[in-house]
Amino acid sequence: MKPAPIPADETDRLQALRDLMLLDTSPEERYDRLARFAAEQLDVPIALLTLVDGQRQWFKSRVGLDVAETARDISFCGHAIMNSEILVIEDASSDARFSDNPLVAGEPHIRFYAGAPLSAPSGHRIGTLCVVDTVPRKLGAIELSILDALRCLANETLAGKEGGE
Amino acid sequence: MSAPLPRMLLTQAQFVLRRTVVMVARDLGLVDFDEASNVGRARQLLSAGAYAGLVLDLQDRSLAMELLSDLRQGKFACPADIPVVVLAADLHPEDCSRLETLGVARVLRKPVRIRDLFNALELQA
Repeated sequence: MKPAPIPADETDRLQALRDLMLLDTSPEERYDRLARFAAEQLDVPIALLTLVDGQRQWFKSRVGLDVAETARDISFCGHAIMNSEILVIEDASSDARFSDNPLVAGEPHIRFYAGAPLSAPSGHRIGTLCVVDTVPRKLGAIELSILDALRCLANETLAGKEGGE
Repeated sequence: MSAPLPRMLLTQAQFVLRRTVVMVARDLGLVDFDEASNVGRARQLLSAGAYAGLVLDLQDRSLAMELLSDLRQGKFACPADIPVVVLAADLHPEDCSRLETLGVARVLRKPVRIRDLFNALELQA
């Protein structure tokens, strides 16, 4: 397993994350609706809005997962925040970075992962909107575009610019 | 220089669905949607602009049916026979016959998948 790397801008990134004052806060509908919509549209059992903290990834919103956080070094999202593009792992069991990851070998038995990095208003990548399945998957152009659009809506929400119903 | 995208009107109250449909359609070069969060706003837009299609949520059932009737009578700026796709959580038998009379091309049950909506509009990603 390749542990999640640490970005070069880690100190500033963590400061940007903490400036949002979202860590360990209660669930909020304005974020939960994005995770629910992602799960519904991409037909996956798990959808998360994650924040990558110093030693953990914490879930601001979660659909289909009972735990509130996992260790950062085994997180897929820790890899996803290294680039601005969506990270897609079609079958984690055949990917050397993840095949012996505890989240793949054990609960929740991740096989498919797609994570769109989220940005704080400062531009630092502080987490992801991600979807997970327990079977290998491929995403089509529409589904990738949906995830990208939801990432934009999440970034607007992080910046306090979200719209209402 | 590429041809302009077909312009359609999306009437949908739910913010996340509405915004996502608009962004994905533009991102994939399928449709340039104008968006209305309610039937009243849709009426304003239909009166002012020509559209190649309409996606209409039946949430405000009577207002939506009235808008469809006016559309088919040619009361707006666009052709009376543009394709219409209706989104509905539930449908009564009388709704089905009314929609058929009003020439609705497709009815999609909510929750609606965006892929299914694009298929109903015969858009290929």
